[in-house]
Amino acid sequence: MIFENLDKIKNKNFFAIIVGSGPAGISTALKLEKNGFDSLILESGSVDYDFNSQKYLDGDVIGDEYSDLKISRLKQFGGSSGHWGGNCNILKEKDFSDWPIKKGDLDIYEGEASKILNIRENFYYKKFSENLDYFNTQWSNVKFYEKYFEHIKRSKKISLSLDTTFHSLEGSNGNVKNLICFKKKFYKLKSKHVVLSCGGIENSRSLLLAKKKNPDLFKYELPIGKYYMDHPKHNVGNGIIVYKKLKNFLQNQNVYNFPTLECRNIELSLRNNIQLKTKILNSGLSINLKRTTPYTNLIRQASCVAPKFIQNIYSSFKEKDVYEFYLSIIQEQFPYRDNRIELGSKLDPQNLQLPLIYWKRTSLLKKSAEIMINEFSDILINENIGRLSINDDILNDSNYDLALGHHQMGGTRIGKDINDSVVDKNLLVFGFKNLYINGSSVFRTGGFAYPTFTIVQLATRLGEHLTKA
Amino acid sequence: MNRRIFFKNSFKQISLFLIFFLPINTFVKSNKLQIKKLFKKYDGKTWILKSDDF
Repeated sequence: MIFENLDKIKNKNFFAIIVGSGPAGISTALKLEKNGFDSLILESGSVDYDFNSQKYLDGDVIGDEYSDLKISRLKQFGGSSGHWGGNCNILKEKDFSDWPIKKGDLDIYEGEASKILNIRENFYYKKFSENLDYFNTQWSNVKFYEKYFEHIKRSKKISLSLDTTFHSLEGSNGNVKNLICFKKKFYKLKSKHVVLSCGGIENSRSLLLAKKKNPDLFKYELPIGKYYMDHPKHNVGNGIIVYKKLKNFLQNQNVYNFPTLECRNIELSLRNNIQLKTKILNSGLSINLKRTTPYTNLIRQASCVAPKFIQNIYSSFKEKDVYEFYLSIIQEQFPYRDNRIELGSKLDPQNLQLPLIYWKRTSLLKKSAEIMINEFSDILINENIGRLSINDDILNDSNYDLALGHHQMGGTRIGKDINDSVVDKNLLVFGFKNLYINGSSVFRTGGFAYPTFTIVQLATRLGEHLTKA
Repeated sequence: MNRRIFFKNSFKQISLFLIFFLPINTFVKSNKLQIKKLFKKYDGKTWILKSDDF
């Protein structure tokens, strides 16, 4: 049900209050509902965002070039998932090496997360070559408003209050007794558990604001806001593939069930052996294919630079076996402690401090991209499958072009040690009895995988944990 | 010239021919001998090519 007026529920004691109605908040509320527990979702935005509400998501960035924070995020029901293109991946086994939970702990929730996102329970990483894996990305058609707003409206277990801003926390000895929020006036709300699910940056900001208002509530000096990460993305270039030769290569490698080119997308990542050998982080290479003819600009360019290659594959054009591809790369960023979220000097319309992000990229990103592209181009050349042309900025340090700011991760990371983590394996904030953090801000490492599916898995797991806590 | 010497001389000549005139990569399969990777700039892009592509 949806509450226009919080006066009706100000004396009610909810099982959980969830701050934020993004994929994380909604998934936890759905799991609680399934297990028979009630929750109240507080969403600071309305059903849709507007120019004025986006002012709450402003902020500053110090360091390297980064996306405008009020553009890369959305203040509305469903949160920043409104920007989401629907891509779903899972993290690799290796990505969990430093986490206090293992991949198997999240795999249990793959089925439920797949249902929430309307996708099949079918993720894999398989060997493509000595140094590369191929994997699949699934596309979700879920728009959180369209799928879940009506459901929540009718639900007897999930309550929702829009235009309600989180303000602070009250309590003692690590026990949060009241959550202070603002909806035309201030309210004190009560619940057994409080879950912050406000987004990759807002989780850190909300916790920092709560600590500033009531420092005694925090037992430990936690690294809130530290180890902030993103997924740098680049357009690498384009090239040509002869499908028959690719098929022969895969047969020789004993690669079965490789996606057919009708799916128009091949995705590759680095295998553990080459990562360990070269000491680089992982990257995902996305190869988008389109059947081509001899008359496109790319084939004309290739005829100039590699006339003999085009001559050799000319008969394949008649068999409609030649594909052009566009290559993009998404990269894992190392969790540096100095890449962090702090409270800045800018204020939002309610006079609360907006975030200030310190963000710097390192040469490790460029090195990882180079090795990944090298591996792929070596296979194309050695097996005569095709040829690749790359944009000059990949080879040039100063112009290394990045697209950033849509996969905000870290800041309240999961771990075992209060010196480098904020929440424990159950997403409970260290030193607290009933304050949990939900969403990509708990990621200890980000891998290169699109984070939404992992967010939903973690949120469902949190819902399960709360019902048993 | 008896048959034995004829075959001996023929074998010598064929062996010498093989050693001097046949390319070694016919026998030794090595990527290093077969492929030379080259970078060629064209129209604001860098093509990664094989030495015998042009």
